[in-house]
Order: sequence, then C-alpha cells, then structure tokens
Amino acid sequence: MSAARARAASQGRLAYMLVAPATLLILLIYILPIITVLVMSFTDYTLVSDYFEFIGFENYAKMFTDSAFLNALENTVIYAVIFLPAAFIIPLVLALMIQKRKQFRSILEVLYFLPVTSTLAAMSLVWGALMDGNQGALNELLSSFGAGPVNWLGSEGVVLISLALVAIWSVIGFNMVLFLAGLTTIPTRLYEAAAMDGADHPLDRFFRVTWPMLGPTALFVAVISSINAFKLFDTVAILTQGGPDHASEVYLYLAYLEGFEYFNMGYAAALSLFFLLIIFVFALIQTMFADNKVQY
Amino acid sequence: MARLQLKSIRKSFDGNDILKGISIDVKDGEFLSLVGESGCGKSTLLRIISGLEVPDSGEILIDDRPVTREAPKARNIAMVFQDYALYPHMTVAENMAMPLIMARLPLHARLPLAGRFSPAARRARPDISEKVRAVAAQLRIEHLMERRPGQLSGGQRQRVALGRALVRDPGIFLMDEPLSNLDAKLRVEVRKEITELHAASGLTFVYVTHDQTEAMTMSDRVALLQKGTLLQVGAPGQLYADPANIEVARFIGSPEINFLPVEAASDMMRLGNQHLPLRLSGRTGGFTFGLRPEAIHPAGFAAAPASADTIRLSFRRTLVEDLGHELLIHGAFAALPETDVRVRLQKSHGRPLDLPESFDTLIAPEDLLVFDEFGKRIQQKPLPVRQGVVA
Amino acid sequence: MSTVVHTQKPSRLSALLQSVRPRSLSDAVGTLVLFIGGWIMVFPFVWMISSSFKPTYEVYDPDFTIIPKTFVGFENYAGVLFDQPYLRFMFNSAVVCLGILIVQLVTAIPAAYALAKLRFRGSTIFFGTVIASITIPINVISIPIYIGLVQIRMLDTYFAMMFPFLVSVFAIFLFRQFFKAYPDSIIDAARVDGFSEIEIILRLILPAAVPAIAAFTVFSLVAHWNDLYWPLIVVQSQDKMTATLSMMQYQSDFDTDYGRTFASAAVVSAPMVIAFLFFRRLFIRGITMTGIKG
Repeated sequence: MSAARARAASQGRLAYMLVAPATLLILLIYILPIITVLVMSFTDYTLVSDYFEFIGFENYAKMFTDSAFLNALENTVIYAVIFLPAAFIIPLVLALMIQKRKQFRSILEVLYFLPVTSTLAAMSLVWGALMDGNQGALNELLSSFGAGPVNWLGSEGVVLISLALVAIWSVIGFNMVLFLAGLTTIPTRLYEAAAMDGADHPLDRFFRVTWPMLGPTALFVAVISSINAFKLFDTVAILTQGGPDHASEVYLYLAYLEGFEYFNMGYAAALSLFFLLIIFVFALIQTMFADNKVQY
Repeated sequence: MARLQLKSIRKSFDGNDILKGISIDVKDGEFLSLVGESGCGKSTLLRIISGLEVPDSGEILIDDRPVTREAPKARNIAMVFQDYALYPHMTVAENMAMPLIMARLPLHARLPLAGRFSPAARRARPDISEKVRAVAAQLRIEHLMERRPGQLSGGQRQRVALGRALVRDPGIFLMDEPLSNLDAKLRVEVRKEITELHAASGLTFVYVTHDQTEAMTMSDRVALLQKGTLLQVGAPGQLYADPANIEVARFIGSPEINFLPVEAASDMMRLGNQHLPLRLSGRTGGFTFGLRPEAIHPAGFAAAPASADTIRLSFRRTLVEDLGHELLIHGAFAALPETDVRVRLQKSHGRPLDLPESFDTLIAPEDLLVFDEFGKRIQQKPLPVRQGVVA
Repeated sequence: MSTVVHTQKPSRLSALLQSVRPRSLSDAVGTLVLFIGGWIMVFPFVWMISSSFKPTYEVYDPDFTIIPKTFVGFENYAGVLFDQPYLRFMFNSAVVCLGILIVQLVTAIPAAYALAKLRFRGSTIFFGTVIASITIPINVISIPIYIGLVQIRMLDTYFAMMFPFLVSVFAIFLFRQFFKAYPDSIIDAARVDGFSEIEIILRLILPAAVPAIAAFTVFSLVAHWNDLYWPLIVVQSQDKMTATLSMMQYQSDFDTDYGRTFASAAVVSAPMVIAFLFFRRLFIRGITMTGIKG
C-alpha cells in the first residue's frame, strides 16, 4: 500500500517540478497583468504622473459617452460586417472547387496560402502603393474599364472597405485550408448513398451532405474570422494611422493610442478589458454551439 | 421486381483488370449472391450494377432496358452499404425520407428553408411521412424515428439502412456485405431477417459477401468470382455437388475439401502407394480427387456409406478437434502421408468417442469429384473395377 | 517484308497533358477562374519584387511592365542591406524569434507531459488557467507588462521584446493533446523496464512528439517574425528594431526612393515566404494549428 503511495507522491513531486517554470511565467505574464489591468481600469493612472486615484467605474462610463470610443467601435463593427461574409464565402467556394481538382491542388494551395505566410506589415506597404489614389495600379486597372479612380485610402467612405480588402486577401488561403481539411473528413460513402437516393445535383449534394457535415469547421472559421476582424491593427498602423479623419480608427488602434501615445493608462486598461469581454463572448459562442452540433 | 442482365462487363483501374468479362442473368425476384475472396471484383461489380461506377465495356440491362451509363437514380435500384452510410446529422425518419424527397419534390422545393413553403413540398410531405412510417413498422423501428444514427446500435442502424432502401420500392435491391459489421450472434439473426424480407417482398436481391456460409444459406443462386472472372453460377447445392473446377470446390464447403493426387491407368488407379479398384473410362494420366471431409467415414464409428463398392483406406490421425456435435479429425491417409486430410465425424448423442491413432475409412466412389491436370472438373465419376484385388 | 506494329507507351508529356484535360466546359472555366484568383493572390508579391528592381520614377509608371525597363536591383538591395542596417534588423528579429521559441518549448513540453500523464494536485486548476489564458490576446496584457518593464528599466532590450511570449499556453494545450494520445502501455512498459520519468520524457515522448513540435515551431516563428504591435511598444532605438517594425518608417511619407522601399519590404518578407515554399506541408499544418483549439 505505501509503496504505491510513495510512487504517487514522487510522481506528484516530479509533476510540480515539470510545471514550475510554466506556472511562474503564466503568473507573471497572464495572471498578474490581468489583475493589474482590472485594478488599473478603476483608476486614472497615467504613466507620466506617479499620483493616481481610484475613480470607480468612471472609465467605463466615459467609454460609452466618448465619441472617439463609439466611433472606434462603430468602425470596427462596420469593418467586420464587410470582412466576414467575404472571408467566409470565398474560401468555402474555393475549397469546394479545389477539392475536385487533384492535379492542380498543390500549386493552387501554394498560390492562395502565400499571403498568409507573408509579413502583413510589409505587404501593407505594397497594398498602399497599389491603392494609391493617384498612381496606384488598382486605379489604373479601373480606368482601363472606364471606371473612375477611387481614393482607396484617402476617402472616409471607402477606407474601411480598402482595409477589408487587404485583410480578405491575407486570410483567404488560411480559411480555405481549414475548409479543405473539413471537406476531407466527409466520407465519400455519404455522397454515394446520396447518389443512390437520387441526390446527384450539386445543390442537393451541398445542402444535404456537404454543408451539414461541414458544420463544426464552418462554425470555427466564422468565430476565428470574427475575432481576427476585431483584432485589426497592423494595416491601420502602417497605412492610415486611423485616418482619414478617424474614419479608420478601429478599436485596437484607439486602445493603442490611448495607452501608448496619450498615456491614459487607466482608460486604456478599461478599453482592454472590454475588448477581452468581446473576445470571450465569441469564444463562448464557439463552445456552446460546438456541443450542440453533429455527433456521429 | 426486375430482371437484371450483365453482358461481358469489363473494368480496369490503373492498368489492373478488375473485371475480365462478367456475364450473368439474374431472374426476376431471385436472390443472387456474389461471392469470392477480397480482390475478386465482387464489390466493383456491385457498384457497376448500382451506377456508381461505369464499366469500360459491356452492357447492363434492367427489365430489358439498357442502363449501362445511366445515373443510379434512373435505375430504380436501392443499395445498402457495408457501413450503412446513414446521414449522421439527420434523424432516422429524415434518413428514410431522403430518397422520397429527392424523387418527388422538384429542385426548388428541396432547398432548405424556402423550399419548405412551396406548395409542391406541402402536398408531398404527408404522403412521404406515411410511407416512411409504413416501412418503419415493417422493420419494427418505429420507436427509433426521432433518434440520430449515432444513438443507435449496429443492428438498429442496419435496419434503418434497409428501410431507406425499401422506401423507394426499388426493382433491385443491392447489398454490400451488410453483415460483416455485426457480431456473430446478430449476424445469424439478421441473416434470417433478410431472407424473410426477400421472401415477403419478392424483390430481386443481389448480395455481395466473402462468407460462403451466408451465400449458401440465403441464395437462390450463387455466383463465384475469382480475380475478375466468373468461375461458376448455380444453386448452392449445385456448386457443392457439381463444382466446375478446383477453385469452386475449394471455396465452397466448410471445412475445406480434401484434394488427393491420383494416377489413372487403364484398369486401375493409384493413390500414393496404394492401388484403388477404380478406373476412369477412356482416360489415363494424372488427376486430382476432391473428397469432402463429410464423405470420409471412419469404419466402426460412422455408418458406412450406402454403396456397393466402397473403397477402404487406412487413415492415421494427428489432431482431433471436438466441436460438441461432431469431431474434426486432422491426419493423412496411410497411402499418402504427406497430404493433410480432414475428416468430419458426427457424434451420436454427443457421447465422447475414443478414436485409435490409426483406423480404416470407407469412401463411396460416387462421392469422389475428379479434376484434370488443369483443375477443370471432368463429369465422369470413377467406376469400380469389379474384378481384381485390393492391394 | 513483315510490318511490325509497335504499340508505344504514351510519352510522359502526353500522359501529363491527358491528365489535365478538362472533363467538361464548366470544369475548364472553373480551373480558369481558380488560376485568375491565384494570380490576384500572387500579384502583390510580383509587383513588390518587380518594383524593387526599378528606379524610383519607374515604380509608378502608368505604362506598367513587370520586367523593369531600367534594372537597378543590385543598387536597391545593396542600399537596403548595407546603407540601412537591415542586416541588423533581421538579426534582431531572428534573435527574438528563436529566444521565444526555445523558452516556449522548454517550458511547455514538461508542463504538457505532466498534465497529460501524471497525477498531481492542482492539475485541474492549472489546466483551467491554461485554457482561459489562450483567449487572452497580447493587447490586453500589454499595458501592465509595459509599465513593469519601465519600472525595472528593461525597456528596449531583447528581454522586453521576448517577455510576454515566453510561455505559450497554446503550446501547452497542443502538446498535452498530443501526449495524451501516446499509449500509456508503452510508458508503463518502460517504467517496468526501469526507465526513470525523465528518461521516459527524453527518450520516448520527445522523439514521438517531433511532428507536433515542428508544426508548432513554424507557427511560433511566423507569428513572432510578423509581429508589429509589441515591438512597436517596447522598441525605442534603432539598435533593437525588428525587420517587421522597420516597415513603420515608410508609413507616412514614403521614402523618396520607392524602389528601395519595396526592396526592403521584400527583404523582410523573404525569409518566411522562402521557408514556406520549402516546407509547405509543415507550414500549412503549423499555421492552421490555431484551428485546433478546444
């Protein structure tokens, strides 16, 4: 009896040794900071002055009356609404098309996945040049069809669309590969059974077999893409810096400015926590719906 | 109920000939089994019949109508897959309704959401539900209608797969090794149910299996395939008693038939170092006897075969397996000690038998199957040589 | 004279052509659409490299050609690598990425093994914390960590650049899944044979985990090479600037030498892209690993 207990004890000791480094780091990097951010959000701490005081929920109240915040939230939501459908449907269609073409699959995967591996900050510069209002290649292309030049990054009405275009470009390959992986898990047998049942029209096959079986993957892609939409930062920092006239000031960029340019740390902390809440909601949606889905 | 004709079906994949010209005529209402070892092409043949594959050459006719290149749904055929292939995200009721929805509703009425409200859909749905319920009742699965396949046992899933096929009132019913995923006990039960289903429905069944017991017990006729060729088609009893060649004889019958090399001279035959008072009229040379384990009768322990001209051969046993109702005796004839022979001996009343190590066996010449040097069966049976002495 | 008929095996070229023959019109159209889309995906890279070979006035030439009319590639790239401290920037990025990766692996693998195979008190709490932390992005914890670094005067150091990423809760989660799948029976057999726990980890588990480690390595390296946000916050001097961060210097007023701008963009993107082309399978598996979350 005690030999087993001794072994269990030594296993326990070993385990503590093994998790010690990670635990220490998690404490320093996640736990303490989160607590600090929470506490800080109730203060008016700014880096420049050592003196600060607790102001309760004032930061949070300020958020909802601050026009900059509301503007940033609105921009981010509009951006997400433009980004999400395209970032979902296009890769899905591509995956369906590529799955059938075995010979070209490798080269097509390379072409579409290339933007995913590239450095977005660097490629943003390229897109900035392509989208240049005066000399950009995109406008050259449009004018060859007779359409007028578009001020992609300099016009308030269009800038979010332009940013969404860049983001869609960079994420198509990623979502496409996820959908491809999901498609390969669908047993061919089901399509054969469907063919026997009379469902050989492509729409029937899609709605009766492909789409239901793709459920978990589709949910995942939707949630991940939504979270990524809210995390927009790099292209804004490089190309527009929130302009023109705050039209592209998205949530994380505002939080960055508040925290690291204006040094309103307390307020920025509140913004960060609210952001975390949004992310949690998305993650919650994922776990809730993932359980209800297909079991087989 | 439909008639199926296959004419010279050929199919190859990646340069391998899977089917080398198969022709079979399946009668209306017949239960035909396609049997053979793995790789013999039986599943491919079934898929060609179903329309999931297209043959390289040859013709398929259903009720005299050529369907060789037509899609599955145009052939009025239903298929039960080995792993049932039920739609995991649909209930049992929805699974069974699928074929009817596909058949009776036009495309716009089948689309999700919007299709539900189309008048065609609303008219057709009650009929569909009714039919599904009727078939479910027939298979005794009405209590499972709202469950999903993931919540069912293997046997229940099988019935749902059968139901989904039956609901279409097909002319031909195809089954691809439907019992192989079930445990032994369930297998026997479902075997009986399928046979009863066939009898009750009168549909034409084409049944693929690698298990010859299934094929023999369930079928009207059995088609034995080997490496893409059709060895023989016939009633089970016929394949057993009248095999066309060594391969058929070897495949049918459990435990496996015994093969004994013999030499034939004009007035006698020789097995190893023993003379046999038998001759083959007009033929001499090397032959192979096929002798079933149940056709070897240990003298004194089994009733002698009812024949006037029994051959007596000495047998030495090496291993005895007691199966309760019978013994499976392994050994060899004294005349041919290198060749393994199996003997089946029924026990009376399950009483233990004490077999000596060596004993005589009695064999009726009528039980001997004769194969020439190419493995082909020759129709004649060995004739007893009345005069002359057993060596 | 007898004529001998040769049935020749089709040449490899004709077999290849045969295999890509479209089966129908819609098939051909679809393939065409896919490749047009592929061209759109790749065009920015083509444009970037093409421009990096051009002198400034030609980059925005309305009469666009891929092959530069005047080739100044050598000058542009030499300028990038030597006139500007790009080699330094790349070096910094490499140091940071590798440092992060090593610490991540060294802390995550043992922790993951403990969670997967050992029983100890507090394992549930620990694992729960790991799961919860996965959803926490850098943007939320950046402020306190920044302030902390300021207080200990460690801003603008390699340590500061690596610190928030040193533990990857995602790696812990991923490796735990992987280790859990490793058969207990093999471990028990090793224990019976007298292996110590450490030996079991080093000699049995680790070699088996190489695919997962490789895929995670790709994921980590790419993510941190491309990171802009955190270096933007903690890097103060050009001495510590990373390759990706250096893109910020072109943000408002474009460098007057456009060709050189895109040469530097190309230099920064090159390592990841080239690695991708060589290790394609590994990349795709590694980057889509973010897909395999709880």
